Amino acid sequence: MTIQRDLRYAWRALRASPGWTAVAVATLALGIGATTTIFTVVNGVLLRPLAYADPGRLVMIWNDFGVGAQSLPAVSPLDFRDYQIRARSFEGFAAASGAGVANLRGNLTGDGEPERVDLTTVTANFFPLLGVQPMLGRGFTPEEEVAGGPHVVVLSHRLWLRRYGGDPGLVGRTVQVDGVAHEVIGILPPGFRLELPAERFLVTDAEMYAPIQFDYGRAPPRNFTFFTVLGRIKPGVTLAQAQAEMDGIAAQFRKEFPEHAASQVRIRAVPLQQDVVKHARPALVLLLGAVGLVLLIACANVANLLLARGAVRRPEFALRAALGAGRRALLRQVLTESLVLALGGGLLGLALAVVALETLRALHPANLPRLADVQLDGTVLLFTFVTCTLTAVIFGLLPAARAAAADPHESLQGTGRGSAGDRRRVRELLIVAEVALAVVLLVGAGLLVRSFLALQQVKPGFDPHDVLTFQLALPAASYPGPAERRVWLSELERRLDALPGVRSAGIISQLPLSGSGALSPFAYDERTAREWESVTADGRNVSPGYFRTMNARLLAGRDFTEQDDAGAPPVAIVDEILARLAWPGQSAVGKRLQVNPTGSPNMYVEVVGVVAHLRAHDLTREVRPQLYRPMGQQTWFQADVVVEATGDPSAIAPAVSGEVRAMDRGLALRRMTPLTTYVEDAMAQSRFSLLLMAALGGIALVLAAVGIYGVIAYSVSQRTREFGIRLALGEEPAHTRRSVVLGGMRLVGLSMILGLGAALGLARLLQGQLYQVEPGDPLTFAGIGLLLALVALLACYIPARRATRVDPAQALRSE
Amino acid sequence: MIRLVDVERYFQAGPTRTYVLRRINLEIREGEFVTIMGPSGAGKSTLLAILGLLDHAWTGEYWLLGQAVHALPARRRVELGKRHIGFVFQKYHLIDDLTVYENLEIPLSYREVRPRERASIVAETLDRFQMVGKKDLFPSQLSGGQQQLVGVARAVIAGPRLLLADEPTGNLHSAQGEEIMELFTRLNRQGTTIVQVTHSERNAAYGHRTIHLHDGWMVEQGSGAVGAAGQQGCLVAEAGVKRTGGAYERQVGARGKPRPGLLPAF
Repeated sequence: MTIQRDLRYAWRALRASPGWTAVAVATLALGIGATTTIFTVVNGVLLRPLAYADPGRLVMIWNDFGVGAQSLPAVSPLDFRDYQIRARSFEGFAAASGAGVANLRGNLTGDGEPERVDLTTVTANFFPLLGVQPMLGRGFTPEEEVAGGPHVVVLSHRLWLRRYGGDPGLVGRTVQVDGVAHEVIGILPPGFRLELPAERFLVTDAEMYAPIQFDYGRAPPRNFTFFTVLGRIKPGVTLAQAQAEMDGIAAQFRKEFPEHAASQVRIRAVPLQQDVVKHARPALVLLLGAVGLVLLIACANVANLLLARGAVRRPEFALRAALGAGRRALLRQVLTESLVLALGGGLLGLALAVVALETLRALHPANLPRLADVQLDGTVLLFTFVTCTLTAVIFGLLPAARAAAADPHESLQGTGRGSAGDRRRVRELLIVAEVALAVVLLVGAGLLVRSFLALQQVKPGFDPHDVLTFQLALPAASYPGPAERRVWLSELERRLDALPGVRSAGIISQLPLSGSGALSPFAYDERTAREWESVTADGRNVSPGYFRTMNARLLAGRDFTEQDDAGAPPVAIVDEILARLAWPGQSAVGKRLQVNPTGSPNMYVEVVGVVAHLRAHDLTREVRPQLYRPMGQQTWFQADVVVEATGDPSAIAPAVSGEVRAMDRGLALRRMTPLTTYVEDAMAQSRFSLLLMAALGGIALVLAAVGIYGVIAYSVSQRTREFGIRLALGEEPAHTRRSVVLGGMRLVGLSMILGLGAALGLARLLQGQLYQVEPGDPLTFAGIGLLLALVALLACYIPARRATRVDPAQALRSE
Repeated sequence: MIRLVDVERYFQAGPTRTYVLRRINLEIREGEFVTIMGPSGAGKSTLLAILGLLDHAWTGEYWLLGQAVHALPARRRVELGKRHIGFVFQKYHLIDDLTVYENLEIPLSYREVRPRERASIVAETLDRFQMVGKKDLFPSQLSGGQQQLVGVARAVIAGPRLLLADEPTGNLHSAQGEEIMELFTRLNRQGTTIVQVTHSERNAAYGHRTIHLHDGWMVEQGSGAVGAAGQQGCLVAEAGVKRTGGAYERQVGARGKPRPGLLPAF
């Protein structure tokens, strides 16, 4: 009964001050919601263990090349074999690679429309190494892994549901993959994701898996690295011990194999989870810090609100004490109110967190792994709820405890002495602290805004507007060799070029900004020839129409032509970076470039042209030189097609699809999208960080403004009599307003000095996230200072106006 | 019932002491209706607050119903006050968020009266004060007189032996004020000791005697005009100052000890 009564009274007391209650609940909700959301993302992306058995013992194997200072998460097949034989610290190694290793492309036909799916090839022990069992059927056996082995596939759960309606009878039946019947032997469990670092080569979180049917007897040299290798360390063996063993194996390799001696290879075992999330870590840690500030600001605001309310209610507490309320009764009443407030804020905060998480998932930058699987974290929600509740309880109880300890008589008379000044100082201190924190957050958000704006102005080296793209993979069964592929692709380019509404068409083996691609070692002098693989370039094959379609600038020489075919002298086009590197101060046109190791056939190509660098990996920097070969001389099975439209690129999509189908009905197009999508995806992580920081900064600004307004408004209400007297004595209202505003701005000024100083120190932490903006950017600091000053001015002005509306007679009479 | 001996109250501001009450010696018998009067700032409300155990920062001796309040710790004083004292405030001081019923119930809930018993007492009080029809209204829905009536009802609901009223009619018009004073008279007749602070001579006339305060000193005790009780049973304080013919004289108390300190002659 007592609890019911307390709840009833608490609800009524809060309802009696709807504005105050709304602000308090909203403040709590923002603090709880924002913190829960970001903590959930950080926990889900960075901290949540990989969904594999005993994930702490899984490592990614990297090859580091001392010459050229390169690192690749790729291993040669022969090296992979040797790891399995020589390493004692590991339970085993497993490998994955692209579809091409099994001569597959992933074109599904039959059972519906032709569709191209991501296909990854794996060794038989790959899923067992991860501790993953198929939900239906089985995984691959070692017998299926040999070259020329049976045609078998394992499907992902999502492909099984999407294309085959979740038919349990599919296991044991065949599906057409690249025109060849493949038996479905297993279906992976729902929720399985292949989580690998962003630098992975050829391997994706595929929808279909096939065994690596590789002929190790005809393996290329050990410097051809295209296996992605995972290892599982034995129980009881530390990472340091495993690494020491791999160091020894690398030393053996350098001694035994000339290609490894030349490149000074080192082998590095990196914990898989750490490797998967390393690029996301800086941004997420930054956001974690930012949301921590928001939580502090929210708590400071709630504290201020409760202290002010407690001061206003002091006479009520005194009255209750005069009526016989003991300390416990007073505290219980206030505790109930604080808990009701916290509960309201918690529920609203939970709703905010759910909406925010859905929004973040929708944004889903490609560089933020594991975000799609993030679920609201109950532990995090509980933590933030408890934090805010404790704040509400402590700062709600403090005034009541003071009132219970004081003589009721003074409070009833309204002459409570002694502690009013202390309370005001505490509240002012809280305001200074929260505004300073808000300044820090806003400066961070401001720097990211400037950085993002600069990023949007980046010239990627090509013009993505009006260009439609799509991907093809020519199945081996229909296009067994380079000649067949060349003929077909040339014809496709010609037909697309002739379509109405098309200005130009071109083909490249892999589009810029579409992930890691093939690396081509090259040499331009004796040293680089001797130290083969010390310099590498992004190696791509392009059609004659490619550079024209991409509006890439030809800086020197010529573009490829139809005459640059298999019968013509081998040629290449390089980018300006490679040209500057190899032949500084000279024209690269006509120069000879080595593209195969010394002693190989077709070692050299002639450089016939130089193009401007195309940003292929990162919009903000040049990662690697670029080397282009004509499609007529080097043709892969994978082709990314670009078609420049005279208008909206989506308008030509049906005609383009129709043309492809007309040439091969069984060929599936993949990812038909405007080229601008790739550019936007490249900015996705920056945009993501910016949006979140801006949101947090906005929340901080609102909370700070509410806090300032609350303090000034309360101060005005306490000085009603004084203002009445002043006005009665003839003070100008403008003067009264000015004195109130100046009093408030004095606090804000102090906060800004503290906040800008702290921001200057902390902005260095943003260095890695910024583009063309210095952490101490004066324009940003000045802008934020001005913004906060204006907002604070408004927050002070509103109650200041109220001060001049005091009726002197009323004010004096009420005394 | 009440005996004050050399009770003083002051506020310390740095080295300066500002006295609100000086050497108050006072006795009030059970069943009396006593009025405290004086100009503003005389210390009337402070004296009432001390009597009501709402102010603890005083010196001297205070005996209430034979208990040495001055020797009790704060918590025991609060308990004592809860048991025996009801307070009527000038500004009503009803709790705005609570209905009339709930305002009456509050003192009982603080005295840990069981819910069923509380309901019964509240119902009886509502009936006694003829407020049954208003039990679900909030203070903002009542007139000043009705609010003060609720205030009085709240003060007596726990059956206190001592009722203290600070300017109980200060915010009421004369008719309402008269009603309240008649109510006090009835309560006093029923045995409740009443001490009221008032500026109104008319209200003072309802009491048995009047105590005058001036600048914190008790300057006079006199019988009130014949009130409804018609009794003049007052005790002379041990030492006090009597105003005679425009001048103040010191009186020697029953124990024969002269009291130091002179007041200016008027």
